[in-house]
Amino acid sequence: MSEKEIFDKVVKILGPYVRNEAGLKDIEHKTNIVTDLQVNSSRLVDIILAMEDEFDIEIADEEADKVETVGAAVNLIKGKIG
Amino acid sequence: MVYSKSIDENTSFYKKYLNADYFKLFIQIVLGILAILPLGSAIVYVLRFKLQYKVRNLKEIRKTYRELTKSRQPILICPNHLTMIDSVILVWAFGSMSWYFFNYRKLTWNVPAVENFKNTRLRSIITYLSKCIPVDRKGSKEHHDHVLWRTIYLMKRLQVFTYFPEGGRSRTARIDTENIRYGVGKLAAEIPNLKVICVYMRGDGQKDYSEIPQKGETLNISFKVIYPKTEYTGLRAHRDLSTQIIMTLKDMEDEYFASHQSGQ
Repeated sequence: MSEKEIFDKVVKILGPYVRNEAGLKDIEHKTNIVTDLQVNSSRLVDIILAMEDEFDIEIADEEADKVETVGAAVNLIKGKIG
Repeated sequence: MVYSKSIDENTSFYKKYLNADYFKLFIQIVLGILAILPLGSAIVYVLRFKLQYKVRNLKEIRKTYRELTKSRQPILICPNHLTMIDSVILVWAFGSMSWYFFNYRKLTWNVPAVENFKNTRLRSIITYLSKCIPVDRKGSKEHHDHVLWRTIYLMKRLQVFTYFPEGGRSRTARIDTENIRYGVGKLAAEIPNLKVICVYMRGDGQKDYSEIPQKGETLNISFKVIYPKTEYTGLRAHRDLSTQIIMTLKDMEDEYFASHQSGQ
């Protein structure tokens, strides 16, 4: 799976949780999930679990803790699916 | 922050904090016992006579609480959350101050948001003497871990705790099942054989969330005990356990409104 495909899927997963719709239009790797997209921090767990389901991977708590930007999520997933 | 390492009492991080904490918590408990009669009585006076609150079936509720907390196992109280003084009212409803004096472990610990009381010295002293561990909601991950680990440390030593699983007062005035927070699930995952006492409290006139119930309010309280279990691990377990607790509160809320609409 290409990085672009992973990125698109991550954006799709984030979609329902994003409160700043305008942030979705300009989304890029360095976009911060909580501050730029205004995703409720309580929902990060749901996002991580959705990523696990979508990409059939397991993400440890410590890894999840480092997912602050869209790019961090993409890199984490890319590293796991090889 | 949402995530934390799993709790292991043998880690240096845990030891570093809790060795230092042990003495502080001990002092807090001793001072709390000494203060319970004068401080508790003053608070009850304000609730009963100044604010004129009444708890429906108070004797029955206290009897039930005594029964539910008899077992020597970790106990977590999970109430719904509509006003800023819910935890104070629940303490009053669950027992008399003289009973707490002899059963101090059953006076529940609370984890209030620090912004709610740091503005006056008096409030800080009262919360300190009332078994509170303040949490800074905007604090660092290390701070949140510290609070969580103190909680687990005390619960494993059979101190009763109150955690509001909704994380804050319900802005819809109903249990919000769409925005479940998973902190309470993390706690439940870390403590084996945890008894969760779900508590639904609502005043007759409580239409919305507020700072305090209206003057003269009559409060209704109901209990339901669950032992949340999960086949999952990690974050999935936290979500599953939190959901079980929240859905129990949701069922209790539905029962409350069903019985009140039918005039019971």
